[in-house]
Amino acid sequence: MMMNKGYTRFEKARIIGARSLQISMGAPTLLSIDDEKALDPVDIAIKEFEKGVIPITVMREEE
Amino acid sequence: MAKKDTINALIRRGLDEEIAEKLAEEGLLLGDVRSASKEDLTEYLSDEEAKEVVNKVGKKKKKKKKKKKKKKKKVDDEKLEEIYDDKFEGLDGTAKKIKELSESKGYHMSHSVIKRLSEGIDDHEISEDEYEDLLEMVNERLNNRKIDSKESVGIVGAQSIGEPGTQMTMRTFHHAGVAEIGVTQGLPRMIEIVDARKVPSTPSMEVHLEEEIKGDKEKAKKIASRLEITRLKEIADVEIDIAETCVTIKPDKGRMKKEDIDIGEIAKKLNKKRGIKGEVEREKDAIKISVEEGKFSLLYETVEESKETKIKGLKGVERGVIRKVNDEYVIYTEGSNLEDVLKMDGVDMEKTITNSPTEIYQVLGVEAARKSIIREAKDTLDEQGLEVDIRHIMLVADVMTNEGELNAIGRHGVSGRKTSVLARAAFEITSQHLLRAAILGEEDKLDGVAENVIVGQPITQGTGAVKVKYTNPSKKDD
Repeated sequence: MMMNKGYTRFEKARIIGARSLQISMGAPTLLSIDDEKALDPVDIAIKEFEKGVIPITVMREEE
Repeated sequence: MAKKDTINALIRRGLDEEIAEKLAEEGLLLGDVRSASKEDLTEYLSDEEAKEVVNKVGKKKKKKKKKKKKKKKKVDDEKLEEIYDDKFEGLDGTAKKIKELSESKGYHMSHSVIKRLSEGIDDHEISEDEYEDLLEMVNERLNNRKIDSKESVGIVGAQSIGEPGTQMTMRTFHHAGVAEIGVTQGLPRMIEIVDARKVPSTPSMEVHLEEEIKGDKEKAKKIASRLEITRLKEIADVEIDIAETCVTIKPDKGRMKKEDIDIGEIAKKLNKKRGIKGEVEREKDAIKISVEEGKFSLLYETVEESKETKIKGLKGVERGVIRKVNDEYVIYTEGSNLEDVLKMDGVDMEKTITNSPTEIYQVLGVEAARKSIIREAKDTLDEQGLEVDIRHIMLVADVMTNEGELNAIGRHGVSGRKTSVLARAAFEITSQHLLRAAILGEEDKLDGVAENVIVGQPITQGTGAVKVKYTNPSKKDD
């Protein structure tokens, strides 16, 4: 389970979920989506996550 | 009366009688004194006295305890490191090398991994480069097996044991396992382990012998015969003499020699036995128990009692079977009495084991019990050809033992003792739990899963446990 930036799969899901909610409600996307065929907010959020541009992180108890 | 009680209670907490009386005279009860501050008490007492009362009786312990706890934790961390280092002290060069190399690379490898790795390497010649490659591979595999934080390990574990459980045959195969001794297997055995029964349906021990005598069949036989319960009827003829109202016991010489006892010992045992109410007399080759004349029912009772008298052996151990396992004689028993077996001469205390986790808990403690649960559960599953990852079983064992004692899984154990009211109510007899909680004014912190489902909140596991926050992208460095 090698993860992007060391996020667990739960954290990844949560971040993408939060971001796609923003996008679905009309937030401006952080990447250009001109060449994208799909307009699914979740797809866009995943792309943004992979590029690492989502301005959301996770609060952890330890560390 | 109440005044007297208060005074006594205060004195018991270390106060002077004088002060205690003063306080009680004012109509204060113990609870009032405990919750009172120094200022409250100066109304009735002098400054110094009030201070003493607050120190000795008041609720002052909280602050001190917190401090102590912190200190303890620090010490524990240091101690853990010490233990970690200690474990390596006895290890040979390879293990030390692996440890140093892995530390320099920043890998986190546990003691057991390093130990096993070094044992595997010892047979081969490996160059420096290969060492590094090997460690890298091991580290990668270790990381791959790591579980994400917030993962629902309990549910996954329950399903991973439950599903193979459905495949287990309901039939129990007796005579499986060791020679003539049948051990409960399959699903019934699994249930038994998880229930933490006091006594399993087929208790059994595996008695190993000390290094010097483990290859000696005769010695093994001798120890086995000392383990087995031998009753009088097995080694002697018990006859009844109605004319003289007495019981004559004629021990078989051959059997006596085999069991290594003499007639005097038998007489002693009979004398000690509570159920025998006659006079025990030793004759040359026999023992006579004379009963009061005319009491025939007592005579018959005496016969039965003496027949069942335990001559030698350990309580609970019915039979012992010797078996050769890799050049070593091992005694398998029907019935179990670990405590007494460990006290016997010639028995290897480290290897001897019983199949009852409860007994191991009583004799050796929780950690041993935890290991025993893992061992027994794994063996039962293996026997049926079912493969379950050991970590699931370990989790079950941890849940059962983490309170320092053996708890069963289910109503009387783990599920019935949950701290959360709602979780308990969700499990069984809902209304009673809720009513009780209402009467006692219990609080629910909503820490667990069941509680949050009931309340309608995201649960505290997986995605639901992650808290997100906004980060300003312009301030990011990378």
